[in-house]
Amino acid sequence: MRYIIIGGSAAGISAVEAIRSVDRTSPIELFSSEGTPFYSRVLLSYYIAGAITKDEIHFRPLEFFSENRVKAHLGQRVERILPESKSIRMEDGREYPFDRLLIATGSSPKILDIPGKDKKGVVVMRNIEHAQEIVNRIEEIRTACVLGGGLIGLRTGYALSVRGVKVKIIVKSGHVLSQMLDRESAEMIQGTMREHGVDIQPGLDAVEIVGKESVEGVILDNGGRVNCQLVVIGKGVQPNVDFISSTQIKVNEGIVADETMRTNLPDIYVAGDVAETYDLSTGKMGVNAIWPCAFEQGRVAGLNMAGREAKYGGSFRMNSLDFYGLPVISMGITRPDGDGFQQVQRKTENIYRKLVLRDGCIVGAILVGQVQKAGILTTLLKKKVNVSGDIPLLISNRLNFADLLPLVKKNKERFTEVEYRELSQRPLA
Amino acid sequence: MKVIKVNPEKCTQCHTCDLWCGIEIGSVAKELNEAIHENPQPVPRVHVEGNNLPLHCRHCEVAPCIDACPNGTMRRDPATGLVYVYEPTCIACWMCVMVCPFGIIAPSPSIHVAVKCDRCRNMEYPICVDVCPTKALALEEREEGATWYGYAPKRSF
Repeated sequence: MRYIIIGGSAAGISAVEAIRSVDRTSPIELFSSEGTPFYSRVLLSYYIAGAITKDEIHFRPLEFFSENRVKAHLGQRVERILPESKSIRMEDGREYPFDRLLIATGSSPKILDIPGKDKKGVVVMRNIEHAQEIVNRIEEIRTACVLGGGLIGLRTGYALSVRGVKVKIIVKSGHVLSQMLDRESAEMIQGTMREHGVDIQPGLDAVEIVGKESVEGVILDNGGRVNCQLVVIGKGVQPNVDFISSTQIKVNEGIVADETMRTNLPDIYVAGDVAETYDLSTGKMGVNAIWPCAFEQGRVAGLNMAGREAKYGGSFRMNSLDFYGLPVISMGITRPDGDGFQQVQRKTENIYRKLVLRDGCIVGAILVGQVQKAGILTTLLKKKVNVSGDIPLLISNRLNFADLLPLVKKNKERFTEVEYRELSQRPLA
Repeated sequence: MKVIKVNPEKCTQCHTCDLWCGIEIGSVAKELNEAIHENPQPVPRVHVEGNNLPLHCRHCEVAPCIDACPNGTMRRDPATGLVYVYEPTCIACWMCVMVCPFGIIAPSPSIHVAVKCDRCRNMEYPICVDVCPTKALALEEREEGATWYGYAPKRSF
């Protein structure tokens, strides 16, 4: 068996670990367009903030490839996949054959198409080079302007602010993080960030980036101007699918995966930010480009590639952030649009909880201030448990697993894992 | 893998387990009289939930916390498969908290690390099992055929 993996981040590395848990000997070749292996994109803003060093940005030790007997081709771009001959072709024309292929090519930042976007000092935050560029120039940056209120932009803005840079965040929609938060929770974050000197301007958009060679400012759609030495673009990401356009591999927004993480072609699998999977919160196919999903999908793909059956239950959006000590976790649908949703909210000073339900099942949640039990909600969403009888407990700060044990027992066909079964010495009745 | 099994019928809610865990594992002084004055306050890794369920990390077969951890801080002991937090690299992002099915990972704002039970992996016997006066807690082998997945670096710390 010859395995080829395209992509060396979360999904690709997780697949290596899964394959090696079944098949210790068959050759694995891994191709990555990036020269730096195993670095965690999630940590780039932590590096900018100075919370970690450049060495600490790796999520696996450098000997990972040799320990797992992986032949790594770093800094090399795969030009196309040739499903008929079961091989891949590199930019320089070399071809490598495979028996099982994993596409884990991730995503790229969406381009912002406004005049001046090519000036020096305009960065998208995606790669370690982008973070390094900011770190190298940190001393000369007095003001930075973040275009977009998404998580990557906000995290970068937070990191710059921690480093003493004056940060202005320009958000087109009514509040930051409109993909993951409702107005109530977003305003709590905005309040905290403003208290710490971050200037957030909702309802505005940039129309031009001005300056000679380097950035000197941003012109806004209300005619205003922000003077700055750095522009960070955080407008979200899109799956890297260009290189498969000549094949029959099915693509909607991302490459469509079945429940074994296989594409529509035999022996070709997909995982991570590039994969489109069943979304458990919306009930539709979608791309959820987040780290935990990439790891889980990579494992399911890897196990199936190595011949051990595994099923992927589905993905949903979730994220965690902590700015200035205010923790926030959100998951699934948080701003329901349409009929059939039930919303439950609870707010006290600095604490906010919200549940979104459909047909008695959790399809979304937001926790601000107090997040410890968030994973219980994640699990109930994932396992599609009808929680309609337990809403007062779920929305309260006394939420705990023991009090949900009757619900777990009632739904024991959904809680089949050993860790649930053995919790009581007697089998769950 | 040996795990701590719980018999709620034997639990009298005496909290001896979390008191001793807080002293032995959570505190710096390892001595009650000093531990209670420590700042930050020692965090026990076990909590008696509901009426009678002492709950710790269950060391899931497929551990979502390991999947979610963005830098390999959450990992397994390769010898035993036990899940532990390698504290020096924890960046307090709370991704593990976001996915823990039992809600047992404590996001500690004072020491800025995720805190959870590692089943006293470096001790002969878990302290909570040792001190439980009614034997509501027991260290037992996980059922036959059970396995585990996820990052288990050979260099253990």
